Amino acid sequence: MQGLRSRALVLGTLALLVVIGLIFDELGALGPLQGIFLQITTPFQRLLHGLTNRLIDTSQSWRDLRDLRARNQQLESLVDQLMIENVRLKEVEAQNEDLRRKLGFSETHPEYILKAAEVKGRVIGYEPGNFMSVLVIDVGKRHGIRKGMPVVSERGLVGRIYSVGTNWAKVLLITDPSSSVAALIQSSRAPGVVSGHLGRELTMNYLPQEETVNVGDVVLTSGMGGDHPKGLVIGQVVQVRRRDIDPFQEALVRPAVNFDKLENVLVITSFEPVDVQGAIDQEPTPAYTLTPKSAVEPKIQGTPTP
Amino acid sequence: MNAYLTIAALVIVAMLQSTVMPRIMVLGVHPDLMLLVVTSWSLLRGAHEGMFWALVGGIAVDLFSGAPFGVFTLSLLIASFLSSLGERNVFRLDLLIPILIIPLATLVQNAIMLALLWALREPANWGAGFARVIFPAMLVNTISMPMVYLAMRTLDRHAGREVMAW
Repeated sequence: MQGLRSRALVLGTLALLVVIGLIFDELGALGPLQGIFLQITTPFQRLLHGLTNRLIDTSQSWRDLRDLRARNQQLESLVDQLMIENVRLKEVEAQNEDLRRKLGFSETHPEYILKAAEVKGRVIGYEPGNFMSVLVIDVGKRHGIRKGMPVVSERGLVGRIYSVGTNWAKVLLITDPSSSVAALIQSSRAPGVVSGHLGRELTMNYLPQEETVNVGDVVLTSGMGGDHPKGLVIGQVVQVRRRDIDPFQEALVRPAVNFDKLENVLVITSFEPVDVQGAIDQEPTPAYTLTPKSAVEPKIQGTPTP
Repeated sequence: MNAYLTIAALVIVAMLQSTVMPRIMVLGVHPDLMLLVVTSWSLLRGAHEGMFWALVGGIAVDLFSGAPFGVFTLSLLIASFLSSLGERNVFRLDLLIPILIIPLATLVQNAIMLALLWALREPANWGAGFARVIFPAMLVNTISMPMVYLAMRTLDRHAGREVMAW
């Protein structure tokens, strides 16, 4: 009994210390400690990750070999199809460029900026727990990385920078339950929000009922909200959940990026996330007010600011 | 076992948990190496050493994690405390106790983590949390436990007792 009491006392003391640590963390006071720890461990983590990759690659080689012959045949026929499509797309691109020039269209599309300013980061670690989806990469403040910057791979959107140190940064993946990205369906331009869920599931919510959403539709970032550049590939619709009683339809999305096999990512350093909430908070009091509905006639006092 | 050596070993375990373990996905989850190690040590050496390991290991994992600091430490401390209640000399050679304890420790640790994330970060989907993470994790950790426990038992036989005063 005495032993149990003593253990409980130790547990209580340690738990209290951890809670104090948690409060300090919420206040942002533990950042330097974490920075020092990760700065020391990053080279070892990189080494360990490299070794793991090599080991996994070796063990998978024989399995891959088995499928290679069949896939080779499939790919050869696919190459033929793609060559034809490539020719067609080049035609469309040329036509597009021509039309832009004619219209004097000088919109700065994010893809062009992306090509000019990107930082390549190597994935060196993952979230140790099962509840969150976070990656650790080996680039940080030293390389111009800042919190909120979007992270992509050659296949599409990966996530955004969640916290950053001197030579490391943590990336919150789009599959994390706290992640949400403003998106649209490429074909119908139907808007929605792509959210992550436990078990790395991705759904597109708030799709208007009247919009047509089909399995196989490509989901892109819409750029709404200012968190991500417009036009990045998020994934593909694999299932549509539509019920007449619901105000919105929902689509299950398969991410374009294979998060298990990510080795390198690109951080878009030229994209400045817009703090919409901050902008709302800073917005001056409107120059007009509407009288309540109970009034006989609504009056507009003053004029709205442009 | 030397305290500095223990700290270094636990940092390595935390590094393995954040680099190697996520590559071993079974049923959508990966084995929780730190929980397996701490639970084994708590069963073998009792609460005081077990909780020291939980504290150090938890802090190391917390530093690698994107979750609020302390979530892993707190949940590991409680899981270690509960595991240490199963510490009996007579059971030391028995594999059954660790296999019975680990699903409970996983349940306790993950439920605490989910509750803390719910309190500190975002509303938790408890149903999905249990169905997609906690129950599969209980199974995966139970399958992984014999291997880790046997390794820790070997270490227990070769390592001296840690002298600690609280």
